[in-house]
Amino acid sequence: MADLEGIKQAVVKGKRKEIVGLVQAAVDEGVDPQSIISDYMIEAMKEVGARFEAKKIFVPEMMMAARTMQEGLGILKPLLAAGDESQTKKSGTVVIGTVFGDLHDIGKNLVVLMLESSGFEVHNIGENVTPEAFVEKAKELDADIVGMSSLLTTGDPYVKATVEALKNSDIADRIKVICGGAAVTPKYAVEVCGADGHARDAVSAVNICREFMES
Amino acid sequence: MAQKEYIPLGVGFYPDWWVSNHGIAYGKEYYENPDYRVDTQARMQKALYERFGDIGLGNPDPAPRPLITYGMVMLPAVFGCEIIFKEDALPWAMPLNLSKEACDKLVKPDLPQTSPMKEMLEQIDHLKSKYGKVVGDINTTGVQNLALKLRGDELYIDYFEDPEFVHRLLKFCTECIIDLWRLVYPITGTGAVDVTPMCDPSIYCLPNCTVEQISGDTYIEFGLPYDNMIAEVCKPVGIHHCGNLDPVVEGYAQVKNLVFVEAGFGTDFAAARRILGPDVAFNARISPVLMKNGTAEEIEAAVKEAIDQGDPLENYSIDTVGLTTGVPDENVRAARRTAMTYGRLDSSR
Repeated sequence: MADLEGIKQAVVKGKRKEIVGLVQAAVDEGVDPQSIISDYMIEAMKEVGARFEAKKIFVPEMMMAARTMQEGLGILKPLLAAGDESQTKKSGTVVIGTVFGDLHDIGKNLVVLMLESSGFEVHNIGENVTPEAFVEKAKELDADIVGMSSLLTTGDPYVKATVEALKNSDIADRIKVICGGAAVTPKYAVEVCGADGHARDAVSAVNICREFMES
Repeated sequence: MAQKEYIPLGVGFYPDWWVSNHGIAYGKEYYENPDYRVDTQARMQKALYERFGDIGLGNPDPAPRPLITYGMVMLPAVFGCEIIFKEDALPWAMPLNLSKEACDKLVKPDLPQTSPMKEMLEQIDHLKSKYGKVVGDINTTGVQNLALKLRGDELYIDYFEDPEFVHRLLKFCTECIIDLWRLVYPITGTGAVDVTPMCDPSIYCLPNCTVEQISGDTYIEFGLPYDNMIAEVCKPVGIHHCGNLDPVVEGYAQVKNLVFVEAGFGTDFAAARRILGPDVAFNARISPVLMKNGTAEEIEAAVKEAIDQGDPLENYSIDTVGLTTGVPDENVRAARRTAMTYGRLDSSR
């Protein structure tokens, strides 16, 4: 019998080497791939996020969980693609980067992992990204959401400039803008800069991006 | 040494603040041209005095300070990391993202013969010949910091999947750090100046900037053995910890020859002091985000809260490092004045 709870726990505990066998066994027994993702793996990542927020786990554990999820998705995605195409519809397309003047990357990379693990198509455009480059990439990739990170308060002017560049562009009505990073407060992101949302961490980034796509 | 009247509160401005407020640029020249650096240091002291002399910052007529520094990027640069220098930011080393095989093939560099340490030694000779001394030192970076620059974020996956490799890499990084300390300490007699101004400069201060990202258990397994290797050689030692100290403070309490710890905002300072013991000097940091976005009243409250958590206060300090463009001057004044009044050591509070 398929060990679906085992799949969930493998993701929660970051058992990357176990996930492939568990997922393959479930598939072989005829479990719906979409159910494996939605009911077990995404639920697992929600638990991982809650544990991270509660400081029960830290960056390495979160990375392991996300990598484990991706290993499992590697088996399931081709099966979805071969079946009902509507089920393969991605959660949304996100362009994400660290604002100009800031070279920090680990927080932003964690958000990338979490978003990818939650079904988003994510384009990580790196660090030290100009406002113009954010707009250009969002256009080129037909993004639904643009996310930006800033660790230092030195990035504040560039967060504002980037949000304004996006909001003044001809894709403004098609995209949502989300900001995060240690230096960016909700008040600054939303009230001062005009972003659509603020994420205090990788978990809330996923939740907000989901809300954006559902709205 | 004169007895302290009140709890010291340090103020550190980020390079962008200097550029935007006083036209004083960091950039590559600051790190590679010793005369430019000495001149810049003097300009900074004068500018600080003009702006904040009323709260005891700066100096109207500073003596030349023949400072050496290379940010936190000397060892990453020695290993070939690209270093990004900007006029309004601290230098930053881009990670090499080496494979495990490439990491295992790394050999300890001959530091005096390897750029940019070779050029730094030439800077030292220049400053010594001109001023008869040098001050400051070279930030060695921390063990995990250096390993992340070499291996990249994959190190965090390796913690789970190949711990033996991680131990090899961390040991290698530790040996390189000790080599750099052994080279510089005899020249300067200090090991903390380039890490934090709040630490007794004569000790070695471990810059554990990235330890905030790992759990207490991970630190004890992968960090503590190497911090202790350093602490055996470079004793006595201090630790600079970015961010919240709480998850790793039990581990830090096991570091040998520990005499100083610096912790970021979010830390339970009182609990940390209890766990580390009264003889470990402690520096509590105020959030730079609060310093920029908060009101003077909020700053005063934060400093008071830090003081209330600080017992014993005789070896306690506070700082407000990383102040960027837009930090209101009144917030800086509020922080300093609160330390000078509420933080008086003879007060009964």
